[in-house]
Amino acid sequence: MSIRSIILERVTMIAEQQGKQLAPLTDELPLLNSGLDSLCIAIVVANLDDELGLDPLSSDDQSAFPVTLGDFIRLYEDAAA
Amino acid sequence: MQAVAFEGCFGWLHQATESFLSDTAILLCPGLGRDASRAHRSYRIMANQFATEGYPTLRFDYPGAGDSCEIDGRECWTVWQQSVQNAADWLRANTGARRIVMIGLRIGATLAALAASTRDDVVGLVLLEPVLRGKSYVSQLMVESRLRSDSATMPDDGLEIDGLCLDMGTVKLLGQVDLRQVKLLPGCSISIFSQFRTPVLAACVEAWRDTGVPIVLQNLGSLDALLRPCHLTDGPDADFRPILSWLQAAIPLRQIPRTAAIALPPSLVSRIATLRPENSVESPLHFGENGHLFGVLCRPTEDIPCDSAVIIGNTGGDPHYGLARFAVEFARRLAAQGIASLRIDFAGLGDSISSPDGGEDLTQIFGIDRTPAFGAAIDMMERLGFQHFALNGLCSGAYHAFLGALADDRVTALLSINLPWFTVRYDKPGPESFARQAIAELSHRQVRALLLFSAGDPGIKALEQHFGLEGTNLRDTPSVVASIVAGLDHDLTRRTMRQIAADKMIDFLQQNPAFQSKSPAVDQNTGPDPIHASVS
Repeated sequence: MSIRSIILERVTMIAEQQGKQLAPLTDELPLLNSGLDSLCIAIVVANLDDELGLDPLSSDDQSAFPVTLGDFIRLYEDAAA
Repeated sequence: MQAVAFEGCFGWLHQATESFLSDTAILLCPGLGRDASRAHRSYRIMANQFATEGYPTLRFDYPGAGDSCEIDGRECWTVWQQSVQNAADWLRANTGARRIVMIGLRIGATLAALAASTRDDVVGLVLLEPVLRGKSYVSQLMVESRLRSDSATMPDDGLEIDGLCLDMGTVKLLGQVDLRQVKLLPGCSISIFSQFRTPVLAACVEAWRDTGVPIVLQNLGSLDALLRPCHLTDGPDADFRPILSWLQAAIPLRQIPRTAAIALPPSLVSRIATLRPENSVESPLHFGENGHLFGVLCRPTEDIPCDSAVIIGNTGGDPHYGLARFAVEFARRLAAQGIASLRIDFAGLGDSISSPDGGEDLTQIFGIDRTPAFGAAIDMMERLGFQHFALNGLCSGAYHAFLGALADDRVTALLSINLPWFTVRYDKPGPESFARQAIAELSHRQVRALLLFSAGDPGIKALEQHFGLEGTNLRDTPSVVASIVAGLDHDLTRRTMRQIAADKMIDFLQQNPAFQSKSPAVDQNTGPDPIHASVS
């Protein structure tokens, strides 16, 4: 599976588990308007760390948090490159 | 089930209902923060089921969590690991069991596995959506903290999420935990329930299998209800049969002849579990019909006379210790000011069962009348000698407290936080509206009411519909005050927010002479002895 597919799968599963109604997932969708709350996003990040061995949002990273779902996916794709 | 206390921890022992004594007991390790509060009710139901099948079961709150005492500045991770050891020792000593099965959820599973690696009496380990690497858990907490605070970096003094406060030492130690490196003893059978099959999980299973430990890996299935937000009450309860089936197959119950069982001194399992957090004394209370309701009575220390109390209701589906543990913090601050409190679980929530006959029907956040629970709490507190009562709640809890204050003329004060509406029905604004009539009624009874709102809270809309901009029209009813406070969010997620809200409510309350601090007593009966007033 591609990183994009894994991220979209995790987002969908965690939203369902947490009882969240997701907006249609597009690259332009702002993360915080996606239906995911901060906890859901945090669980996705922790899950991707275990799944992909990638944690591009670690504490020493000073950059701004990705705004859109597309930014979020690209962050992981770049970290894997 | 019986409330217990050990080493500053509050817990519940669910005694096996079988006529024989079991050699195997179960220790339930909760998650931390929201993971614990979301699973609290399910843990109670799970413990009851295991006890019914013959396994005495202990569940407890870690130090600094739930109803337990605070950690007092020590590094948390080591304290929590020690508390699991203490709980296991306590369980053996008080049930006569010689073997222990540990069941843990999320970081509680991590703690259970670490404890199991050091004890040869742990014969079973059930890991529910375990945190396998502390690093990913810390990452989760940091990302959430970052999103909540709009800050790019972690604050120097550690992490705070919904009442879970981790100092930097704890964060560092937690980040080093990796269950793949943990060696379990061969006599321990393992069952892992997980929704996700990650490479880390596969590596963990492989590492443990290599040491000869039998492992069963199952889907989380309906156990994901353990992780469901508390306010989502329309889904089915978790089904614990997969755990029980594994348990009965892997670790069948063995009976101990009563003659061979350890003779237990009755003092070990005390009838009343009392904790002594700073400035307060806390005791569990059952009340209501057949004692189906539960609360924690928090009183000032013995030398402070006290006849006034705040009854604190649930927020949403969270247990009595409150969203982000607000009820515990508020209760202990009240006690420091000479005011008692009873933080209660409404029927069906937390540690209260749904009905006096023991049913476990699902509950609804707004749809069930909670005035009987407040009334029963006041009945109990009156029997204990208290005379002045305030009701308190946040969000849905504020709604129920508002209705409770209206329904019971023994209530002389109301402290609502982020009241979402005055009624769930359509309430056309005007002189005849329910809201106006209700406030007039409270004013007529001279109930002092503080309607506290976080700036920007959605509940302000209902306030302003009926009482004008920021509730200015409440000036016609001087005992009722609306206060909109900047810097708070709806759930009071940060400790500073909870402190601000608590200070405002205590200041307001103490304008009423009945709730003002009393001088220390000299040779005076300073209050009730809950031992003599448990269940009606």
